[in-house]
Amino acid sequence: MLKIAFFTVRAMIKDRMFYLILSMLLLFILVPVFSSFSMRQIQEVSITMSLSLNSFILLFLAMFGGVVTVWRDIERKYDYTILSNPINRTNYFLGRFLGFAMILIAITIINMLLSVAVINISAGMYQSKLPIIWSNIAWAAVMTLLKYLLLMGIGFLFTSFATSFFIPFFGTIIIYIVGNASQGVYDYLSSAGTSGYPAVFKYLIKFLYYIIPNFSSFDLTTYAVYALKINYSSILYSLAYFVLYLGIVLSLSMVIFNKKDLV
Amino acid sequence: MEAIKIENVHKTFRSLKKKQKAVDGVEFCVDTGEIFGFLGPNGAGKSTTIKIMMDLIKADEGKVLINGIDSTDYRSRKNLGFLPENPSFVENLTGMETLMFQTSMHNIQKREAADRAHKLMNLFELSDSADKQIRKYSKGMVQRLGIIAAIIHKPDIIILDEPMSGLDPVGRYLFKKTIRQLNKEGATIFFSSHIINDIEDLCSNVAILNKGKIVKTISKNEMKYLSSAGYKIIFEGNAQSAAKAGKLSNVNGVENLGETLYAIMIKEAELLIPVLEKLKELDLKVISIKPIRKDLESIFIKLMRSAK
Amino acid sequence: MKKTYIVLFLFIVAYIALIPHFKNNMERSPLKLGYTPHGKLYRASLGEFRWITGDYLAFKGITYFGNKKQAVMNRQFKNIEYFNLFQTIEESIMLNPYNEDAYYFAQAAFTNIGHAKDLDFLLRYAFKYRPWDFQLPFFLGFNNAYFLKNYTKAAHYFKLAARLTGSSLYTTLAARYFYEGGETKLGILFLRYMIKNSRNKSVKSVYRKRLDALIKIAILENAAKKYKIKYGIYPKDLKQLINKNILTKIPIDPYGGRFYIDKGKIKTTSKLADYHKGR
Repeated sequence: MLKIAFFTVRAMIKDRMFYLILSMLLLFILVPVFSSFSMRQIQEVSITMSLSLNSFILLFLAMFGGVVTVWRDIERKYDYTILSNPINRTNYFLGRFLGFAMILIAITIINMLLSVAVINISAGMYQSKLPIIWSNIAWAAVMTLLKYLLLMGIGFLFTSFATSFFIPFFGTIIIYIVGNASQGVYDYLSSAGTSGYPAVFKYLIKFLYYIIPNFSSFDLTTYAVYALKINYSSILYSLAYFVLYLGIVLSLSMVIFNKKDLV
Repeated sequence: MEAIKIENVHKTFRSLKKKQKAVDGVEFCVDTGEIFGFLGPNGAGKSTTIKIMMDLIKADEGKVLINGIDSTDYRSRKNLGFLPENPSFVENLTGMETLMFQTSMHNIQKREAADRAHKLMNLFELSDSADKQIRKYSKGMVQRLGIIAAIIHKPDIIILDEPMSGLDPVGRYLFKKTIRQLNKEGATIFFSSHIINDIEDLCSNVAILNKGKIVKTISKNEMKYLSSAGYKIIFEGNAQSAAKAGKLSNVNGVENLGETLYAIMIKEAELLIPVLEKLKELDLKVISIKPIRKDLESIFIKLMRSAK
Repeated sequence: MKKTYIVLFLFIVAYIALIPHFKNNMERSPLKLGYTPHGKLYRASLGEFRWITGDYLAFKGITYFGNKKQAVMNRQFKNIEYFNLFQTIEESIMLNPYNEDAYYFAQAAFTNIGHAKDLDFLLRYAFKYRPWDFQLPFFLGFNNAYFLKNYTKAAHYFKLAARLTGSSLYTTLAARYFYEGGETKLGILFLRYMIKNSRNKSVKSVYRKRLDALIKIAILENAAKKYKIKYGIYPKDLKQLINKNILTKIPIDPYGGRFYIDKGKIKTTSKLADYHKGR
């Protein structure tokens, strides 16, 4: 599995698309520039922008990773030469995931180092009433990383049964959007003001709420920006959720992929 | 000892619109140490059978044993080399990196692997491109790299799907030489082709596949007999003698190839020696004798008839 | 092969065990709305998606408010992320000033908690884009009269609303509030309008409760006025209204407070007074 993972990393750091996505790192230069346009929220805006940029880059990478690894292997028939080695499909599939996960982790670390620099520069321009709690910012970044690992896992799940490029690509986009909104919609339907909706519709939404990934639980941006106190039991729930959801996604992928005809 | 054993393998591809039976009860054995040919026209099910052997496609029924291990177990591929039809490798990596990855999957020490890779790349004339990305390789170069990747870990069994497509004459020569060498060293070789010549030169046994079914498994000599349809003899001499040669029994006419070159055809293989003697008597200088091959289609027709 | 099935099964079982706790945790989570970014660059970068983003933010804010209905009704404003909510709705209006929901909701949710001035700006902004909409000058007029005490401006907006609808109701409104106690009546009129035109049940029920309180205040104001006509001065205590047979009982403040009279003005120990003052 590790061999496949390192193979993935090695192939990816030579990929042109990867460099295109990485070039977004340059946008970090803009963080202090745009933060300075804010009147009294320079520090707050710089933290928001840094975290958002981190998310943005990870979103692209996760989409790219979900589609580009296993799916491209199948489409370009790389899998024939890779799987003819003495390796079972589970190891191959998880190795591919692990390899791209390592890339995501590395990019998160780079993003955070850049963030520390630009936030410090921005915070130096105007004294905010709020302190900068670096551990909150780090937690926000970690949770963002988990969110995009989960999204990438879903991309892999789509790949495991996909026959065309569109299923993993648009499937991932749709899950991303729906996963971000699911908590909001669920809350809305749980509120008293919606008694007029048919019950079947509500059950359907509630059912979907349990199935679709809940990305809202990974958003700690406000905690980082406004130096709020993080509730660690909440983080623990999110971590457990991440582990179990990813476990389901990947093992379901394995069940499907192990049966797949690689035509 | 059976290196590869295929037992009653069936495979039907299903799509929304139609069902297509690709492999229909294929059964054969490959003995250890032989070179086994797998012959059949395009679309006969050769590639599907080979992918089932490699567990890339799951059979609906039947099983494949490689060195006695079921092919759905990854351990069956431990001492196996595989070259897919039109192989492709991750394009961002160089040829050398690809070979290093392949050898690492077989737990070969880095230094040893690099050594072998250099030697084989030298042999297949890829040394200059060893550190170029594969996206810059030509089709023939990728094919040669594929062959290297299939043999670099010195496997006991080598499975090759259309190994000679995309190779130039030099590549073909090198390939055949390497295959014979590996076979001499004890490797069992299984390869598919739709070209009779390729198979005839190398194989000791041939399985012929058509429409998903094994038509017949035959030996090399039988194959030669089946495929031979007479000879074309090219010779040099004066016009008078050439005309006489054209009137020999079993020869229908002479063809002038230009200046003093002529060609005659004989239909039956057994008549080659008497005709050659006659030509000598006529003082004609034989330049070449080429066997005339039947195409696959007519061999199938012949086999079908004999089966009836 | 079988192993993967077992692993999948175990993960699903664990997931099912976790999910109720996880769900409860998400529901308890204090910060559900979160910060909405602002800025021209952000708006520009959205391109044609600014409209849908605006709609989405309005939806998000209204949903959030709906969930916090209990807190709003009990006036536990600390439990509500008013800052984030206002920013969300503000950004929603800035992104898509055509969205009626957004400003309608803003009018409903923010005027009474001290955002009347900010709201004045947002409503004027939306009015630039929806010049046909009488509701906007109506709200503007109401806010100017009721909260900002800028009567000239209020009259101007009510006139605009009257011109747009062709109804004289709004011109009479403009005159009404000058009477003593007119403020409460204006409030009642306004709330009736909002209740009638609101589809959102959370907003409606919040309004109903407020209307209930205002109607009770109006009853007391009326009684106090009668008392003054009879006796020349306002009563010092509301009980005097019962003693003199003007009222049979003092109504109960739906917000749980107690009504009292202070220099002729009806007040309550609950924080409804904030609403009255408009801060």
